[in-house]
Amino acid sequence: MVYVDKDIESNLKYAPRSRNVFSTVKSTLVKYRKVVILLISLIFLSLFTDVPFVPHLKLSQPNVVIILAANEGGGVLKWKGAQEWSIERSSIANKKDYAKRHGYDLTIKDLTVKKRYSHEWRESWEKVDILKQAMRQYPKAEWFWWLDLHTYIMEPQLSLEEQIFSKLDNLTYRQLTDFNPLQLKTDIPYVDYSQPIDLLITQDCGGFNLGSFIVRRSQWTEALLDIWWDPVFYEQMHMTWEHKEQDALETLYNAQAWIRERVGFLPLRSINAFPPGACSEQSNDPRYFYSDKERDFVVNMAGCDWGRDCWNEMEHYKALSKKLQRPWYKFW
Amino acid sequence: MQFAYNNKFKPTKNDFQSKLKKNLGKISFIITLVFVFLLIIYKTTLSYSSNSIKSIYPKYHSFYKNDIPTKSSLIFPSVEHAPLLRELTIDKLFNTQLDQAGNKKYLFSDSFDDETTKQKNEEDSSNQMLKVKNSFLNHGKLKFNGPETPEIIIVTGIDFEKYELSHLTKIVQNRVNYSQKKGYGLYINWIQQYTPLLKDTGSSKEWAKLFLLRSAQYAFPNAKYFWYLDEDALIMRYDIDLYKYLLDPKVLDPIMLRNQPIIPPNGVIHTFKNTKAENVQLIITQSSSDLNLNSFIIKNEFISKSLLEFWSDTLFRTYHNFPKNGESALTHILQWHPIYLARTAIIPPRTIAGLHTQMELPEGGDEFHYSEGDFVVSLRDCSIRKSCESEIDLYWSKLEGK
Repeated sequence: MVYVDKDIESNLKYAPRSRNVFSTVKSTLVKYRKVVILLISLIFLSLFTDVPFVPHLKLSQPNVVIILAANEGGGVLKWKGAQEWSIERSSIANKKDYAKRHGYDLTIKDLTVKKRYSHEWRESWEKVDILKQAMRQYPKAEWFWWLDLHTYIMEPQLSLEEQIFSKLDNLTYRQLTDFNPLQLKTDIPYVDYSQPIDLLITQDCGGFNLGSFIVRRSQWTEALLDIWWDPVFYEQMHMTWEHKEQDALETLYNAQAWIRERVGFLPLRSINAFPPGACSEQSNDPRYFYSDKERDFVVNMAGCDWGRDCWNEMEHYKALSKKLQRPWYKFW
Repeated sequence: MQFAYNNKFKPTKNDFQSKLKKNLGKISFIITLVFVFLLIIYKTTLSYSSNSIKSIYPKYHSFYKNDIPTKSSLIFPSVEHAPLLRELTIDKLFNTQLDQAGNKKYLFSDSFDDETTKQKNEEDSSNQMLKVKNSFLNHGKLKFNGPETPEIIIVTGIDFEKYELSHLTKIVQNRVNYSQKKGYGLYINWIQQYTPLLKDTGSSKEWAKLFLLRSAQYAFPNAKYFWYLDEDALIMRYDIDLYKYLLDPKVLDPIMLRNQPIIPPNGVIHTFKNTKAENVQLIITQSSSDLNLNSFIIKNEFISKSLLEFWSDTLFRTYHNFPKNGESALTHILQWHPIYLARTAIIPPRTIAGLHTQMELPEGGDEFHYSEGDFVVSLRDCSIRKSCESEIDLYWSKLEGK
């Protein structure tokens, strides 16, 4: 009896293996179905959603790098006060949160006055160098979004992909026929508008604005960054180029077809909306100013350190964004 | 034990299995459906649709709105018009306008495309001068649209104010003979074609070569190489195939001068040591003390187009400290902008620009000067020597004598 029993036992032991693997898997799945369902939903949440408290698996490296310029004009010439520290903290936290939410990289670049730029010719031309440096630092990233310190992302739930890149052609204009504050030439020879857009900038009431702009890694960008600052151009123009690299870009755009064909203009309010204090001479033109009703993406307190109160503005938009972002189920 | 035996073979599992087998088709269908659904969501949220370009933007065009298509790969103007063009003078060739400061501005205009003026021109066809003027202006609008683009285009600018008809004929004939024999394209245009650009900044005519090359790139959009050969130069060997002789990366690689100072002999900035011949966009030669732009080759790619446009920028043309115009500007660009230096090859002078000399050369020639059997003779600075005509005659007779 015992002998037979043993035989049956051993038979039983091997019985499931003789069946096919498929059914074995099935049976284990059914046995642990609660665990399996939990795992599947976790994977689902991790891959396809942005919900908090779940580690989000990103298989690809970040495609977008945000470059935040801090400490502009600071350093040995000027000590930061409490308000300046506060502005910097708010601005950095805002971008950090945004970058983390969408899986972008954030790099904070120090724009303190350096000796190497203090020569009359090169003062504050660091933007170009910083862009080159960031492109070397993140060799896999495609898009680089430059943001000045005095900017605030008001709608952090919007990704650049859905907000900008997916509708690049509908959002941008490439010819200055409709809006041309600088009266630049609208048509020059040899411009091929079938080229892709590699630089996304905005125009305010005074022309190009480089407070918030997006650039794509390409041979074109490499060439632009290389020629943006040229000593012969600068020697002739540095008295008229008040806004340095901004004016230089305007000059290059106006004269050279290869630059023009890859520049796309975004409406100011899409990534660079102004507070009422900026462009104050045209304060009734809705194209420039941030609107909370239309939930504009980013606000740029351009020129707030010229007779306005940066800290107040920053606190205002910070509070406003918090209010706009408050979920419906929170009452406090 | 018996109990355990029964328990192990409870039919529940088999029951489930059979159910599963029955519904296998259904289950796999649902799984595929969910998968496809997720895939669609994933794809639609990530795809960047940036290919459709709105048609509202102007089409790719040159200085003129309209092109005149031509099937011939040899584009050159009617040289016999030179004396009449000289008689007409530039002021009558272009429409002019006075700007606010009272300076005369020369205009590129399409007015000759208008229907009314066209008719008027036909009525006046007896008027020889108008014919010449039309032919001059229309020549700038020619664009090649033949079935097969030649790979190599020879580009020359000719100046009716500098040379008489007989010499212009020799210069053009020399290029036509060579390119016909080798099946290359030819783009010859009057330097005066670019008067509006040159007068605008008061620039020397030497800058015209850059505009000319850009026009040639426009007229032959699918060509690979553009060889700029100045009017003060002659091709001395019609049997040399430029690709096998120089342009083939395998040939170019060993002859490129690496770590060569841009300003010889002691310039601080040198060419890169590791430039690859395949990446070269610009091929130039040097004399003993500077760059020689009498004869150089540029590729037809993005970087070379950007170089031409940057190089010919107004701010370079107005710069007071560029005594040699385009040559000074290129010397400057190569020393300041590594993106272009990395794509430039300096090659030994005698390959494409052996210089003319009256001196006795040693046996086998020297490094810089043309000697019998070389590909090209460059008559650089012949205007300073005041002997352009006689030098052209000298080498032309050598060519004809063969």
